[in-house]
Amino acid sequence: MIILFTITEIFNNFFLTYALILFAAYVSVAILSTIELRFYLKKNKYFDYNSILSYKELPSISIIAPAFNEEASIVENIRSLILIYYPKIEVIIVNDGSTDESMQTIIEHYELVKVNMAIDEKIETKKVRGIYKSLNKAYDNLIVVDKSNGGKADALNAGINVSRSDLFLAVDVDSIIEPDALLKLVKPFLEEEGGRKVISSGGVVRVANNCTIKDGKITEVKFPKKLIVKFQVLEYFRAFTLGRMAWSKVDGLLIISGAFGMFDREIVEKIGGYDTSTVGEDLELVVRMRKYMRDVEKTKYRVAFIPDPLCWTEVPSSYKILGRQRNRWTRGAIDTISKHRSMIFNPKYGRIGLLSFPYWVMFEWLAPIIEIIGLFYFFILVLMGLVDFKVFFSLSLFIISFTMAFSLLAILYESYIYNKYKGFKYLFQIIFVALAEIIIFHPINVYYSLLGNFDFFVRKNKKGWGVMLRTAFDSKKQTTHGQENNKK
Amino acid sequence: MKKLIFYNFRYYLIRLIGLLTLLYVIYLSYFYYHPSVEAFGYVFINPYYQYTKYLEQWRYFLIFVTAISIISFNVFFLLTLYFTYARAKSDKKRQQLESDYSEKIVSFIYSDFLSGGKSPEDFYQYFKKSATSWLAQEMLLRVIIKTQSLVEENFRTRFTELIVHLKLQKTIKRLFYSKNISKNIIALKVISHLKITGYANDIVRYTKSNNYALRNEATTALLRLTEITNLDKLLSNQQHLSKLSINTILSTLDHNLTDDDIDFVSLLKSQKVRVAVIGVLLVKNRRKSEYKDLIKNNLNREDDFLREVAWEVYASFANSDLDYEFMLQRFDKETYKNKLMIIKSLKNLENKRKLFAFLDNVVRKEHLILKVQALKIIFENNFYRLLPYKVSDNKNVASAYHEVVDLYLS
Repeated sequence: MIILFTITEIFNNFFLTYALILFAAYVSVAILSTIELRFYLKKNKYFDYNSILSYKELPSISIIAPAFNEEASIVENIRSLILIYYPKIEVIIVNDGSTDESMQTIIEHYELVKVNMAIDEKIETKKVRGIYKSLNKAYDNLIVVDKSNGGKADALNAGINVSRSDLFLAVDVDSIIEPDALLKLVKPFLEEEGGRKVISSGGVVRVANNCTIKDGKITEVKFPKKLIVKFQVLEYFRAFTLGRMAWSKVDGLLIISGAFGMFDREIVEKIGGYDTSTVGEDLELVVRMRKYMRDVEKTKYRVAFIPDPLCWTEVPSSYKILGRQRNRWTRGAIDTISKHRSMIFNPKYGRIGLLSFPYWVMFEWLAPIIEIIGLFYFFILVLMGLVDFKVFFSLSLFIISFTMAFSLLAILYESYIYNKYKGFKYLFQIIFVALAEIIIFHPINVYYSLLGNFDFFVRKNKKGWGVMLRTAFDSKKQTTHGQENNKK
Repeated sequence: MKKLIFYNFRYYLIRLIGLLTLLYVIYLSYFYYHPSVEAFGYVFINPYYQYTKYLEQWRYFLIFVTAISIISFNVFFLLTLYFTYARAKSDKKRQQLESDYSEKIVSFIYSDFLSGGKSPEDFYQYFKKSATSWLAQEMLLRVIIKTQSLVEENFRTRFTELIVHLKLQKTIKRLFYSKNISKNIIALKVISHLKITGYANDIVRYTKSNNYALRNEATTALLRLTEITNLDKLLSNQQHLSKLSINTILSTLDHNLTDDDIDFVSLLKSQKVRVAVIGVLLVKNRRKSEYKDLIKNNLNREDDFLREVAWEVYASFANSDLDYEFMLQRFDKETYKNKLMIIKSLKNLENKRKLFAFLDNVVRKEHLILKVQALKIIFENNFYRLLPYKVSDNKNVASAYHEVVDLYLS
C-alpha cells in the first residue's frame, strides 16, 4: 500500500509540475508575443516597403524553389516567382529528378537552353544533369537546374551551389507569395537590429485552401470549408502569431518555415547546407546555423521573424495526408534534437541551450508521450477508485477555458492586425473550431505524433516523407509531392 | 513632460485602467478567499465565502484562474468583434478622407494651371469645413506629405500657407508629442518636408530614441531641415547606423543636400566606421574621384562593410599605374568579395603583360567565381589568350572557361 501511495505521489507530482511549467510557458508566450507584436507594429506601421527598391546598397537574393513532379502547375508557379520585383534577384528552379514531364514543360515554355555554368560544388549533392537558361531576355534572371532525385534538402543544396547571391530564399514552388513579401523579409537583414547580424528571417505562412488565386496571387481569402483545414487555420494562427513571435522576442527561434525562409548564403554554405539525412531539414538548418554562430563566428547575431502573412500554402485536406505530415514533423524534431543533444541545458548556447531546446524536448517531442502516459495513468486511477471527480472536472474546465482563451487571443490578433478573414460567420465558426479542436484535432495530432515516435525509434524510419497529394491551385489536377525519398 | 501628458491623455488613461484592472484582479484573488476585507474605513463582505472557505488554497487558485480564463475568452471575443467591425468602419472613413483629400490637394497645388480652377481661398474654406476632427486633420497632413513626396515640384510654401490658414500647427504638435510612434513619424515628415521651425531640439532627442523607425525618421528629418552644420557630428551621435539607415540617409541626402553642403573629408575621416561608410557611398554616388586617396585610407579599417564599399569605390576610381600596382599587391590579403571588385576594375589596366600574368595566376589559384571573372576580363581584352584554358587539366578552369564562352560569347 505504501509502495502504491509512493508511486501515485511521484506520478501526481510529476504531472502537476509538468502541467504548471506548461501553463507558465503558455502564459509567457501570450505576454511575449503581445509585446513583440506591439513593437513590430509600432515600428513598421508606416514603413514604406517599396522605398527599399530605390536603395543603392542592397544584398542580392536568389529564390531557390525545388520542384518534383509539378507538371500541372510548374509554368504558373515559376511565372509568379519571376514576377517578384527586386533590384538584384535571380530565380533558381531545381527540378529534383521529376518523373513526369515537368522539365520538358519548363524547357518549352521558357525557351530554355542548356548552358555551361561553373558550379562550385561546395555542398555535396546528387548529380546535376544540366543547367538551363532562357533565350528570352524577359526571363534573364531564371536559372533551371536539372538534377537526379535526392529529396527537398538535396535540391535546395544544389540551388545554393548554383547561387552567387548574398542571400537566398527557400520556397516551395507551389506557395503563393505576397507581393511585398521579399521586401519584408530582407528588411531585417538591412536593419541589423541591435547591431546584430541577421542570419535568417522568416514570416507567417497561411492556409491557401479554398482561397481564390489568380495569376499566382491570392485575390480572395476564404475561410476553408473542410473541418480538418479549419483546424489547421487556427493552429497556424497560434503557431505563427503567438508561438514564433514569442520565441522571436527572446531570440530563441529554432525554426524558419521550410515553405518560406530567407538565409545568409555564405553561412549556410560554410555549415555544409541542408542536412539531407533528416526530414526536418528546416528545423535542423536553423539549429546548426545558431550552433555555428556560437561556436565558430562568435559574433552577435539573430534569427528574425516577421508576423505579417508572407506566404500562402496548401495544407493537407485529408486525415491520411495530415497523418503523414505530422509523422514527418515529429521524426524531424526527434532527429534534430538527437543530433544536437549536446546543446540541451548547455549554458554555452545561452537561451537556445537553456530555454528553446529544453522547451522543444519537453513540450514538442515529449508532450504527446507524457500525455498518453497520463491518460493511461488516469484510467488506472479510475479503476482503482482513486480519482476525485470534483478535482477532475475542475481541472478539465480550467484546461478547456484556458485553451479557448489562448486560441481567442490568436484570433484577436489575426483580426486586429491582418483582418484577412472577415464576417460574423467566420468568427462563430472559428470559435466552434477552437472548441472542437480540443476534442477532435488534438487527440488526432497526439496519435500522429506517437506514430512518428514509433516510426523513428522502432521502425527506424528516419527519412521517409510519404506521398503528399496536393491540388494544383490553378487547375483541378492533383500533384504528388514527396515521393522522392520513398524511391531511394 | 507636461507636453507629453497633455497630448497623450488617452494613452495614459488606457494604461492606468489596465494597471488598475490588474491590481483589482489581484485584490479579488485575495478578497474571495477571506470573509471580509477592511479598506478606507469600510468593511467589504465576501458573499461567496461560504463556498470558498472549504476549498484548499490550490483548488481556490484553480477556480480563480478558470474564471479569469473564461472572462479573458469573452473579452477577447468582444474585442475581436470590435476590431473587426469598428475598425473596418474607421478604415473606410480614413480611405474616404484620403481619397477626397488627395483629389482636393492635387487640385489645390495645381489650381494656377487648371483652367476654371478655384482660388486658394475656396480650398481653405473646403478644408476648414471638412477637417474638423483630429482624424480628418491627421489624414489631411498625411495626404499633404504623400503628395509632396510624390511630386517633383516643391510646394512647401503652398502647404505651409494651408496649414497656417487651417491652424493645423496644434495638430502637428499633438502628433509630434504623441506617445504613438507612428504619429511622431508623420509629424516628423510634415515638419521636415515643410521646414517648420521650433522642433529641432526635440527632433535631436528623437534621434536617440530606442525605437529604430523613430530614430531613423528623426535623423532624416534633421537632414531635410538642413539645419545641419556638422553632418559628421549628427551621424556620429546615432546609436548604430544600420544598412537600412545608411540607405535612407543616402537617399535623403541625394534629395536635399548639394555637394557644397557636404563636408566629404570629415565624413571619410570619421572615427565612426558607419559614418565613413556614408562618406564613401556619397563619394561613389556623386562620382567624386578627387577623394580617392581618402577612400584608400579606409581600406584598412576594422568594419567589413566599410572595407567592402571602400574597395568597390576605390577599384572603380582606379586609373593610374599606382592604383593598379597597389591593388595587385593587396589582392592576396583581401576577401573574396574585394578580390572580385579588384579583378573587375583591372579591365582598363594598360600594361597588358602584367594584366594577363596576374589574371593567369588568378585562374590557376583562386576560387571558381574569381576564375570566371578573370577569364571574362581576358576574353574582353584578347580572345585568343582565352583558348588555352579550354583544354586545362584543372576541371574548375575548364568549367569557368565554358561558362565565359557560353554565357558571354553566345
